[in-house]
Amino acid sequence: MSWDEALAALADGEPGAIAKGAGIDLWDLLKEEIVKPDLMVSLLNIPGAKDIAKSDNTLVIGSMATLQMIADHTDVIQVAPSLAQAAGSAASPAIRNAATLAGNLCQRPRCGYFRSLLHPCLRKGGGRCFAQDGHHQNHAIFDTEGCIATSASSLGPVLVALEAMVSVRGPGGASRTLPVEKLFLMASQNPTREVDLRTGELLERVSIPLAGTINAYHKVRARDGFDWPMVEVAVGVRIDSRGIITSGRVVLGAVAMVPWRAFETEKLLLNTKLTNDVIRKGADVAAAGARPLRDNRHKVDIVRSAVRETLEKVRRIVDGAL
Amino acid sequence: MLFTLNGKITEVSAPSMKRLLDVLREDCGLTGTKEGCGEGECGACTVLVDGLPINSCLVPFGQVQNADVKTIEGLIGHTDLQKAFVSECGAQCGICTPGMILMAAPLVERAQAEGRIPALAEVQETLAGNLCRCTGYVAIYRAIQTACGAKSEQASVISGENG
Ligand SMILES: Cc1cc2nc3c(=O)[nH]c(=O)nc-3n(C[C@H](O)[C@H](O)[C@H](O)COP(=O)(O)OP(=O)(O)OC[C@H]3O[C@@H](n4cnc5c(N)ncnc54)[C@H](O)[C@@H]3O)c2cc1C
Ligand code: SF4
Ligand code: FES
Ligand code: FES
Repeated sequence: MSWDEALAALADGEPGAIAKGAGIDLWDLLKEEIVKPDLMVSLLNIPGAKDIAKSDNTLVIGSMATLQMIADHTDVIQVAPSLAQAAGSAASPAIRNAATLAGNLCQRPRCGYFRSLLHPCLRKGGGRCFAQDGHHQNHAIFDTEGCIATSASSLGPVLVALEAMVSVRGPGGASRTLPVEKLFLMASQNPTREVDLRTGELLERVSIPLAGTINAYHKVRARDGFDWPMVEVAVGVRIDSRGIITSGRVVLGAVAMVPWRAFETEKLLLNTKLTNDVIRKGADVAAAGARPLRDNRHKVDIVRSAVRETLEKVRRIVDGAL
Repeated sequence: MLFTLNGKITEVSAPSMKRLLDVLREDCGLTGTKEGCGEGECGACTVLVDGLPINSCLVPFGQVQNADVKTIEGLIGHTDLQKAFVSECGAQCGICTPGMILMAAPLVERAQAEGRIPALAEVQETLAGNLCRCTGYVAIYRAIQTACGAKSEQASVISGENG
């Protein structure tokens, strides 16, 4: 099957046809009747869809590459070590051997109410959010007026920090390219969808600029081994020959429905060197604008310390590079 | 549908959305593969597909068409690992054991080929998705290191140093 054949099969099956990667998230959605497809189109065997290769000025990763392939690939490790690390520490080894890049980006939120047949919440088109007054320790701290679930993708924040682009193919051969940042929808923008794909559109590949950034990733989790992140941070910066930051992104994961840019921290870093003082100030403002809930205030502190840790990692790389 | 099961080309007619786990246990009669959680959390259902450990509770049967599937019943050539699980008491109730062994098998194979004993941290990371409620893990780690050539006493020293 080719991309065009997959797109045609999806278009023919409308409504009720759905694309499938490894199906890890889809199983769960099927069990809880969140999706009830008549037809699933597996993209796993599309030739080239798992390829990872340098081309021109970018590192291109096919959307069906598995998390383990991404973690182990020498070009990824060289150009985007933060991505290799995020992919290599998401889920468990056996899941990483199957889970795909596109499935990771498009997976639905892990909110327990969302995943339960008994709770017709906002995200399923229902009238209320059960987490607002219920269990929300792991929920959002930004954009917390309506649905407060967080994006489950660990790769999302890293790809945003790396200024990656995603190529999307649509029905009838239409294709478009957009920044990964624009793929995600804030809960307040759209309470029922997480990614901005139109009906029948598919993620084909992700491209990361080679003239890249110094980048680092840090994940805070409750258990050391195999656990979802409480907070994760991805940073990508460009520096000049004196070590002064000329551009940079600081992106938080597991705190909102989108990879959340810490703009205040980014502003503070610009035109500075990563001194102790800059790192401390940058970490202090990383949670600016947070509106945590009754039971997840701890995440605000975790954001600050995780940003500090990540910036310190970046400094160690910068020191090594100069 | 055709696939290779423990080295033999096998034809099974089962719905393509049936879980590989259930096809193995119900249609193929191979009950060595266990179900713990059914959600990717415990690793009891681990089998090798084209040489890579995956959770068979999360794989639709249709996905293994023409693939090479290996279950605990087919794990010949890894007797070192199986013997080490016995000698080091790596199994108690045994529910997690087939998954543990299949998860560790590629690591043991690699380490044996390279003539090295994997450090505790590497063994732990490999088994991060495999839960055991009986052994407390230490005996399992020791079994894997022993299978790679560590003397039993040496294996515990290796765990002592790293953990
Ligand atoms: C126990 C457990 C722990 C986990 N821990 C983590 C973690 O720590 N961090 C993390 O990031 N993830 C984690 N995950 C999630 C895991 O990474 C995802 O479930 C997985 O990546 C989904 O990939 P898939 O190929 O199976 O997707 P599928 O289930 O096949 O698809 C998921 C969604 O993506 C859509 N889709 C698939 N391919 C395309 C495409 N090409 N274009 C458009 N849409 C597409 C499907 O229609 C579906 O809606 C965990 C999962 C489990 C079960
Ligand atoms: S947080 Fe979102 S997904 Fe969870 S119950 Fe509220 S509306 Fe539903
Ligand atoms: S039964 Fe498959 S991971 Fe637990
Ligand atoms: S031996 Fe009982 S679960 Fe591991």
